[in-house]
Amino acid sequence: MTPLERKTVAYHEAGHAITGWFLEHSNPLLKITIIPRSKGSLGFAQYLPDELSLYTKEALLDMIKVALGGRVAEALFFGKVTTGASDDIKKVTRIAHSLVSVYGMTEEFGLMSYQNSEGAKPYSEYTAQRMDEEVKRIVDNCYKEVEELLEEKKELIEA
Amino acid sequence: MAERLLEKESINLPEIISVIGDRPFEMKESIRNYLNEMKTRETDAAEKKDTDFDADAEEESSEEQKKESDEKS
Repeated sequence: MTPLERKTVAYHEAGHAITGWFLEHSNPLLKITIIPRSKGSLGFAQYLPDELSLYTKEALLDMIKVALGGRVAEALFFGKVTTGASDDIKKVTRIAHSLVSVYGMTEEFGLMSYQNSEGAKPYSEYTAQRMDEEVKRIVDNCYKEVEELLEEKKELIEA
Repeated sequence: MAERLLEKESINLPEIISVIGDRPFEMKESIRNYLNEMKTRETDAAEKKDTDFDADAEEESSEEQKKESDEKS
C-alpha cells in the first residue's frame, strides 16, 4: 500500500465515522481501524449492533448516509474518488431499494412488495423504471446531506 | 480523526471521544456500560502495574487477550 493509499483509507474511514457520530439513528461506533481485515477490504469500523433487528425508516436512511460518508470524504479531501467505496455503494443500493420495494416506506410506491418471485418481476417495465428513479433520488438526497454535514465537520475528519 | 488513524492505525471509543468530543445524543445504556467497563479496565491495569510490577505479567496479558476476544463475540 502506498502512503497515498493509506491516507485515502484513513480519510475514507474517518468519513464513515464522523457521519455516524452526528446522525441520531445510526449504530454507536466502538472502534475504527485502517488495518485491512482481509485481502481487498480497506479499513473498517466496528459498531454496537442493536439488540432488536427492527429498524425505522430514519435508521435505514442514516445507514445509507454512514455508508456514503467514506466516498464523500474522499471527494472532499482529495477531489478524486477511488474504487474503495464499491462495497459501500452495493450496501447503499440494497438499503435504498429495500425502502421502496420491501418495506413500503415511500409514499410513491406505498405498502406494496415489489420483490421478484420465480424470476419474473411482478410489475411493469414502467414501474421498474420509476422505482430506479426513486432509489436514485433517495441516494442522491442522502449524499447531499452527507456532503453538507462533512463540509461542516471537516476539521474533525482531519483531526 | 484521519491523522490519528494514520498515526495509530486503530482507535477505540474512549480515544475517538478524546479526538472528536462527545456525540451530541444521549448514549444508549449498552454503550454507557461499555465505556464504564473500558474505564474500569484502564484503572485496574494502572493499579496492577503500580502494585506488582512485572510479577504475573504473563497472566495479565493472557487475561487481557481473553477480554478482547469476549468483546469481539
